[in-house]
Amino acid sequence: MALELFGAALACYALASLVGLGVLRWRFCADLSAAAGVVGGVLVVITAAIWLGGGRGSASLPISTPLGGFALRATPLAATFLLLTGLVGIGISLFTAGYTPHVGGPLRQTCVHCLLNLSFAAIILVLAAADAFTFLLAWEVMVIATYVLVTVEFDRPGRPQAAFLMLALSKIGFIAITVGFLVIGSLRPGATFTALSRHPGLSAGVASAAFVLFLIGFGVKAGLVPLQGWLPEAHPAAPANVSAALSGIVVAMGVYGLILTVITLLGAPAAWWGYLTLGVGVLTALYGVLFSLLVPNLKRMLAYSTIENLGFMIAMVGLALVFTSSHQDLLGGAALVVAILHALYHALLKSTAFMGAGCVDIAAHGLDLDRLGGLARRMRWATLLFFVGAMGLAGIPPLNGFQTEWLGLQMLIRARILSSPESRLYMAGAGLLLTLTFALATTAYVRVFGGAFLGAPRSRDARNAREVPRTMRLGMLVTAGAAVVTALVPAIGIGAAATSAGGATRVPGLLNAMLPPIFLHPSAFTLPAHLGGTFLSQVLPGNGVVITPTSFSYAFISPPYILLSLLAVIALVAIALRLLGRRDSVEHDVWGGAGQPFRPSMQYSATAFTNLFRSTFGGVFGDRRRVQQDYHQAPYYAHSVRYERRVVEPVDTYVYQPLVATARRISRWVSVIQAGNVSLYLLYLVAVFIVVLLVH
Amino acid sequence: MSRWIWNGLRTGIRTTRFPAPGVAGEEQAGSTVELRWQSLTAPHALAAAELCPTDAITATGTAVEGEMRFDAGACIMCGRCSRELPETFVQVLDPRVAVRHRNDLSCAVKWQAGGGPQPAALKDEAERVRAQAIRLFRHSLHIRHVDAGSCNGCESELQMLSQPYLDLHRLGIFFTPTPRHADVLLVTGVVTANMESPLLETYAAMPAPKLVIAAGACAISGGSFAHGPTTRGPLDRLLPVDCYVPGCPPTPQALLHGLLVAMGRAAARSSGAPPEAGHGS
Amino acid sequence: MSLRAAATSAGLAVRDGAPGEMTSLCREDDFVAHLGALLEVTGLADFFAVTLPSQPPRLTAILEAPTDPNWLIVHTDLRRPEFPTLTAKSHAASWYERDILEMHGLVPLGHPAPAPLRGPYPRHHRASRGHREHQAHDFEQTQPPIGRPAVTGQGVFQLPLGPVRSGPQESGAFSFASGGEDIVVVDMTLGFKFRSIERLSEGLPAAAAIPLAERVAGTSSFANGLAYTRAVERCLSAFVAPGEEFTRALFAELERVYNHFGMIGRLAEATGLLVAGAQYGVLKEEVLRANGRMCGHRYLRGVLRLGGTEIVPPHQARQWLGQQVNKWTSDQSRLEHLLGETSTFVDRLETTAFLRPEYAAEHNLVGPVGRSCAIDQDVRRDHPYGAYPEVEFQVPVLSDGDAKARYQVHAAELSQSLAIIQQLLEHWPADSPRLPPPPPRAGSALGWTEAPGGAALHFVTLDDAGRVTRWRARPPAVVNWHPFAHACASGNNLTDYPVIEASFALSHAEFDR
Repeated sequence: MALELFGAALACYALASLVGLGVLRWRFCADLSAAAGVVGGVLVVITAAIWLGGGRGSASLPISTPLGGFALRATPLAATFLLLTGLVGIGISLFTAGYTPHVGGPLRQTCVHCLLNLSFAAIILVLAAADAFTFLLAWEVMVIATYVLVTVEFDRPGRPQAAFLMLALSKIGFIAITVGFLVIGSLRPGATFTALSRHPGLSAGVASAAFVLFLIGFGVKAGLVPLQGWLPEAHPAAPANVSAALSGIVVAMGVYGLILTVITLLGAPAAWWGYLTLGVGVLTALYGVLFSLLVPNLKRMLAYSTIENLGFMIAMVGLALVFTSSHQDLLGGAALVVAILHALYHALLKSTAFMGAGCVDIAAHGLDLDRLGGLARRMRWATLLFFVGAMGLAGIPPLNGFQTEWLGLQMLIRARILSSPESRLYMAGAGLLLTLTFALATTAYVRVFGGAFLGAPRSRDARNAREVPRTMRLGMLVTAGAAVVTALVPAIGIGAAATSAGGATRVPGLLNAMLPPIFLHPSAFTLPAHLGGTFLSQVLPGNGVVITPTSFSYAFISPPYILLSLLAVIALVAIALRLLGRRDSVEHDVWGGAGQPFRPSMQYSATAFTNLFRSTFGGVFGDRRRVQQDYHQAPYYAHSVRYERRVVEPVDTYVYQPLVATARRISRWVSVIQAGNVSLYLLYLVAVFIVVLLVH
Repeated sequence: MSRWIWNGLRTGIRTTRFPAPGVAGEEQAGSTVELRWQSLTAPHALAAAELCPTDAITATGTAVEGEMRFDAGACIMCGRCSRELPETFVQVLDPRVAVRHRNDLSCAVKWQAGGGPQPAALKDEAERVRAQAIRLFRHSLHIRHVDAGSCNGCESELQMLSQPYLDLHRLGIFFTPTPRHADVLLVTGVVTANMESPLLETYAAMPAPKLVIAAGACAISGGSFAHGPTTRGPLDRLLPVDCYVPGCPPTPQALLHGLLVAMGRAAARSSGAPPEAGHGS
Repeated sequence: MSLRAAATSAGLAVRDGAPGEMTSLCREDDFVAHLGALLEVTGLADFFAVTLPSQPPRLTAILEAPTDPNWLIVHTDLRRPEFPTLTAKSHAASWYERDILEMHGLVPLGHPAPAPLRGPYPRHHRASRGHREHQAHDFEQTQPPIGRPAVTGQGVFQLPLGPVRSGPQESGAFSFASGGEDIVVVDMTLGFKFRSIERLSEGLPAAAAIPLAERVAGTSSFANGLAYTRAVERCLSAFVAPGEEFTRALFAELERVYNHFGMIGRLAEATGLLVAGAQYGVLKEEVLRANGRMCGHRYLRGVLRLGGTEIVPPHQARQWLGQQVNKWTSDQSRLEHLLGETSTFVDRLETTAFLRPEYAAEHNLVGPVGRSCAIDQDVRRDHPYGAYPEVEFQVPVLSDGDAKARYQVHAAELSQSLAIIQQLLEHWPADSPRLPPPPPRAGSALGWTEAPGGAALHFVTLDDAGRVTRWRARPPAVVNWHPFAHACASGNNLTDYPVIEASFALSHAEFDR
């Protein structure tokens, strides 16, 4: 059953892809393709539910290579990722139906429909892969399909370069992953993952080498510093539905791959693996959020926010490694639960946000935050749904981001169980930086939402914005709705993540540790039960609604109760105002000193909102301010003034540029060999021939 | 920082007890000028009208028959009349000079053949009678000040209200930067053409109920600028005024009295005479 | 080189007018050439136009040389309503010429920004309701009026500070272009308080216009009134008794004292030091009450008359004032010492609103603002008048050009003024009989005083009956508002703005008149 439905979903996506080719000729193929994509997504969700419920299965084709054959299997680890792929896939397919007409002509629309569904097919294949060959094959298809999708709008400036950077870095990642698989499969070439995970048998040095290779390889996809250069370029360059898929699903594949290889396949981790991963993850998160505060383009901001969230996920994986290497298996499992849970939530929320950005792009013909504004009155639904996404990602209770950020910080606090003071200090430092990151993320989303949607429009395009087609809003509603539901019914998200983490680490009872079964056994949990923990037991399914980092003595929260109390306070205040306050009010113009009439340029701009961080973190950004005046006769009579505030990206300037320059230099030296002279090449041939003769 | 606190404590309390009864005239500068018609003669009246640089003293007729009108609202405190005729035009040191009605600042004197000057009834002018001070403002008043073209003397006196000698805040009165929170619009200056629109917009931006106070000779009557080509005032031509505070500039205590009159906590000066001691609170 | 020699070598024929004044009537075609040569070695103190019906428009420039106690007044009559600009020779001329264009319609040819100096003003107020968004706004990048720069940049927004300010302050509008916290450009709109005071004086007897001169600005009532009165007295060759000269100097210094107390108090409040602000508020109120006791008016109005003063303070009052001055001197030195040691105050002032000395020299700034930028000029010392030759005083000059330098110059001048008052009280001349007012006659003359903000120049023209035909008032703020926008934009933040404003201590009423 498990793999049958999976096969059906795969077939649906393949069909959708084929039908997408027909868009070149027939208009109705677009809707058909989208519908097939939706059906495929639903099937994927059902498959995931089955896999989470314990369904197992495997299938294979009789092919044999040093990396394995072609085999599929159903695992709990892949189940949550499958769930998120399905949910986001439904949303994106709906969105695509209304969005692709705005991408371009029939050829481009064909490209989008065909390759988007092809990437979905490749992604679920990656998740179901049972050995290295299948994994790598599906992975490569995914990479190439997304690469072409990114270049769809190739005539806009900067797009081809962005896609090329993506391809180049993905290639490096692919090589690293392949070599890693070769290394761990060196003892038993062609074995499936199941076989490899049961008997690792690797020496410490080889395992560490494999770990580093996998970290680099999956780090490219996950956007770890310093491998993240493609992400802020490629994600904004793609059309909005592709960006949503990239930021939601594809980057989660990086996390999945890392968990699969490092935790499942490599067995017992060395301590430094965890510290390294945690450190890299935290630095990535900080880097991502700092830049997301500054960039004026909405999609770029979301891309940097993706880097930040991924940094957090990888940091949690690192924390799991640390705990496992210190024999704290339950805590290790819990940290992994947080990582997978955040992957699920992030996928739902970020895809909503990117789809919202797509709506803004269509309605206001631009994504420059300093030229937007006032969209809330003009695009109510898109605003509301984007708001859900933004609130969730900003970490506002009771939504998703708050839950995982809270859990992550609590797990870092649990790390005081570690023995050595240096490691506790390290954890404290990581916790400090993560807290800073989360606070800055809230600021960044306030800036984005306020700048784009609130206030008065700052440009004619923003003023003329209109509501977007219904299917686009429906797609956003699916993902946003799924996010809200999983936030308020924690049994869904935590249940899925706990099953996956339990499958990966073989630690039992993670669900009951993190979402104690208060509904089922209230007498065993007196404290939270007395505080009202059984209140919603008739209404909501599952264990309970109280989340805890494996121990009540530390802390616990309950998202539905947070929501209920917020609503109660709001209701009380509203009633009080109704009864006590006066009803009559007068509207009048904005007061600005009675000088000039109000102009939209008198509003705080999005860039100005975070200008303070530009100065505070000026060292990181290489902040430089320049005021240029054009004048007649003397500087006192300036007639135009240009203001520039320059930001330097450190990874690009200090890592990529020197590497590229070095590579160019080396290749110039080496190209001496390619003199173009036929006699010289003949000489090379003779020399190699002689060497081979001598060796053998 | 502690040395500033110590310094402040050493300076002691300088705040006046005004408007407590029995405390008035700590200034030795006059707050307005008062006409004692009993010592006025007709030639003096005509001479005084020549002396006066504004329309504060106007006289028509001859030494035999005529009328003189004295309007404290146009008096710019130049001191000429009180130097020439000290018994007739007296500088008033008691700062309780604010009034509610414009006519309370004026009085008229007539003389005819065979008799001395006698007080005359003023022509009935259409005046806007405002309701009693709104009870809402008795204990707390927020002022929105607009400089509609003053010479900045009035602003200087208003700034003195926030200083320790007078300390506005002990009476529950505050300046507010936004008209949305304001109860009273305090206007200084003759309303210039360029400030007319901002002034009216400020008034419109204030929520009801609201009061208007005209402070200074310029706001009440135009002062020296009454007939200027860019003058759009006086203030009561544009807005309904609840309280007038004469002076050029009005002394800070006179301004305080005006604010208290607007709040209903002090009695206004009825025409020609200071309010009885003990009136108001 | 003396002013006379410079004028002659520039090709002008000078005549002597009232003592210390040289006049020259120059042909229109030679005006720019002569003045251009002169402006190499002199400073442009004032430049204005007079347009009377049935007469050609007349331009007048007033020049001064650094070490010369004389003034040079150059007139020229125009045939056409235009003239070549002097801005290339002296940047101080740029605002004067824009004022001439706006008020008289005479076009300065070649001016880099030939646009009205004042405005634009909101004309139609909207008592509208239910206004949600302003649909009528056009987003096209409209070219702003000439003289105001167009600001572009990612995320630059405008912060309006309207004519209606936040507390009891004068009306003037500013618009800040900001990138976030920093000030990029400040766009000033002055002239909201334009009362056409000069026009109101035309046709009045000279003595009747003294109250108008006093009401140019309230906090420099006495200085402007005195400059006007001196201009008329010099025109009529009137003589002032020594006691009344001393009275004038006394009141002028009292005005300076209360102004500087107020300035330092406001500066302290701008930096958040409210206790210091209150201390200075106490001192300012004490001085105003002393004014009231000495002359019956807190702002020293109604004291001046043609030929002297209405009152001379009697001995008892002078003794009382002497005791007060002793108290204020010790208070001021104590507070100045404390302020100097308060780092929250000093740090806010250092390098804030920096004004380059070259800028100050090119624009001929006056008063404490100029003296904090190395311009060593004070008309009490350079063109002595009244009782000032009888007293000794220093003129503090600094060259840092920032808010701290302006504060220090104000504080030093304050101490000097208190010392001057003590000297005046000690050497008070014996009583002398009151002189009658001078007989009227036609002519024109310049009167000057050092107001608290700088040199106040008044140029008066009288007709045969002694009535004013033309009065030009140039209080110090007319010059000193010029560098304000420039100083704001020199790398300051929006939060520095109250400090900048308080350190300049400029009056809108003086500028707008």
